[in-house]
Amino acid sequence: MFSKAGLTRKILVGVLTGCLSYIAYYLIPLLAIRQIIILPTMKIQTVPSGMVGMELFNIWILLSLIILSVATSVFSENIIGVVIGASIPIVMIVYLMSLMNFGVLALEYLGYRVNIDITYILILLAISVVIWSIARVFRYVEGL
Amino acid sequence: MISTTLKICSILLFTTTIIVGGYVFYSLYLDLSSLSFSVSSKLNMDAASINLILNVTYTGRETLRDFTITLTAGNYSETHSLNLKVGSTILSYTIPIEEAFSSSVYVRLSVNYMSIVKINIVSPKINITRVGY
Repeated sequence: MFSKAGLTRKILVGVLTGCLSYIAYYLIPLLAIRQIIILPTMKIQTVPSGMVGMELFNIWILLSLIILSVATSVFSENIIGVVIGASIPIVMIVYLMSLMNFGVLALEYLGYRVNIDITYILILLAISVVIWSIARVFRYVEGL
Repeated sequence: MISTTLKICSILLFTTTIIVGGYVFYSLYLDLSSLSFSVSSKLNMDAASINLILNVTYTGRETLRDFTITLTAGNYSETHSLNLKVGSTILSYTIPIEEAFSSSVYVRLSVNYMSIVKINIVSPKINITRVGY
């Protein structure tokens, strides 16, 4: 099916893409959320429950993304690879939304309980990611 | 061709959402940080209720339109809806005396900002204490 060099190249591309996906879909959104919501100077006592204990380096998410990206790269000329590749951003944005209680953030600040509902913003972001994934599938279909 | 169009739409939607979201949060930060409250209370002449005065001071940009303030004390609850203007707004609540002393009294602020972000802020319990007779 593949030459040894070709397979190695595809696996390396997959690993690299997985690492980049980790940065794009996990690290940057998490850092952005922490910057906006958990400002250290605000002495916030309670943070959204799903985000408690979230580490910047999560080996399981990194491994999952690398495996999925390798599968995408190896099966890139197949519909399976295209579907797996297109599903990665959708799965990641749903995962990040679930950490944020699907748009309702609850926090406590100096005795004040604050609920921030950003559902509409998250829905728009999710729609843009879904459109991007559909575009990738269309690109494959157009290339047939 | 379709894939390129979809990708452009996706990038435009994503970028617009981030820019609008950032602007909304920045505006909210400016407006909510220019809002302050003070509470005072006095026993009414009938001795059956307490008049609670909530003084809202606002120095923001007058963009908080759908702004409601609800005072809750046990079964008593009263909501004032207001479009905040620069300066002081005084809101008066008449709370039955049994609710004022037996239940927790707190204020809830609700803001529906441009129908994009909804924020609820519940204050800590307000203590109403008896001073003398």
